Amino acid sequence: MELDAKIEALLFYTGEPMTLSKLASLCDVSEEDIQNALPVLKEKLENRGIILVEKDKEMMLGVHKELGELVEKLRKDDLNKELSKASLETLSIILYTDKPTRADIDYIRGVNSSFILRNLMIRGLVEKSQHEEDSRKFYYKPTFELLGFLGIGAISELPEYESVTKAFKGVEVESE
Amino acid sequence: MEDTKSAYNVKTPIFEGPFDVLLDLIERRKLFINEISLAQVTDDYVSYVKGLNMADDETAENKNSTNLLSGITSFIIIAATLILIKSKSILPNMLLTEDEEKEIGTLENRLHLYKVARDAGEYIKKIFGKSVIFSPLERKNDDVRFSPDPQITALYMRELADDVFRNIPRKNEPLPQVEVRKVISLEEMIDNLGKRIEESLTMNFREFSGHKGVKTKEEKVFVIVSFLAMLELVRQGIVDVIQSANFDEIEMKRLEKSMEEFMDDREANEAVE
Repeated sequence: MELDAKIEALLFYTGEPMTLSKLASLCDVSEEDIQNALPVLKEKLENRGIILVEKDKEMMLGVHKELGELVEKLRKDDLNKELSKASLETLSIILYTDKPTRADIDYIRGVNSSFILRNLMIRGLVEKSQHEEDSRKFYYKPTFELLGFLGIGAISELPEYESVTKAFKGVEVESE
Repeated sequence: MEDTKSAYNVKTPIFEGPFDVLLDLIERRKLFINEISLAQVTDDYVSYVKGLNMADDETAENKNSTNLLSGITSFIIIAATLILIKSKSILPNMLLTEDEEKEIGTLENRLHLYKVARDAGEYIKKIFGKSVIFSPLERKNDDVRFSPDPQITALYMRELADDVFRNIPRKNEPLPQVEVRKVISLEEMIDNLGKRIEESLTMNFREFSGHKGVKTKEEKVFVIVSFLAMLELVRQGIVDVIQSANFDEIEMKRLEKSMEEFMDDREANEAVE
């Protein structure tokens, strides 16, 4: 079987995110091979009911966004689709900038964001993660659920991704 | 908010923070973010903050007051920088310190950053929840079944069980037991003391406690109990004690009250208790 089929099988079977390295070791290939096989899988899934979602070198299968309504019919709960202005600002910082800490978010928003961050975490839209270089620092990152709500298969599919990330970086450089 | 006499009444009072207000003021005038535009909106901003202080008094009970307080502080810090910018624009000769210049630059930058975040927030709003990609539901675990492999036979299981019993660690020596020794009770001591004083009219405390220079912990306890017993007898009016000088011998002397009376008293006391 082709590598893309193997990836599909593993992701289907686990039903949850799997890291690139785990996929590579299970399939007995390099991470690069997996990376190369992903576009193939994506292409093959194009007219199917499922879609490949990736985030931070992790992959997962989800229901195609055009079939979201179908699933909503099945679900008994009502999805909370309301986001306050503060939530939107905070989410945009977490989505478009690289590993923002709470201090970074406070700096950009000009107000204390701890309450709003806790709220977003409770809703499962963002999560806290320890900084690789400095274990005292924590940064915030989007969850697969957030990508799902946005209907995007990867961060780079965010609207105006290039220009917004560039705008954030441009100002940050100036401020240093 | 309505009754504040500010020059500029902001129609939508729900702002997320000082940057939100400031950006709104600048964009209403269709200006770009720079020192000139900031100087122009200073008055409006300051009056907004003033209104905020008044509104604070009215709503403090409903809202989380510490949250509100820290919020207002952040508004005031920005107001200070704005006033600095405005002063500079009115008085071009005014010299600013390096720190002040830096502060102005920082405010401009942060406002730019905030604008980026707020605009991006609008993009997010447009797509959030519109067409959701659902993740697979959590899988239910299959029923756990017992599937013995061929070598698991009844006999083998029996042997395994025997092995386990054989290997149970044997009970070794009994655990050392600490004997809890009773030194002497206060009551026994009082009786003892009373009797001995009955016998000899006076005795000293050293004799009574059998204390010949403290040696062991046990002996110390004995002395303490003796002393307490003596004090009790004094309280009951059975003995009188005299110590002529510090660390001198304590002479104990029996008073008129007899030991029998004392015992009666004690029983009466106990009955009351």
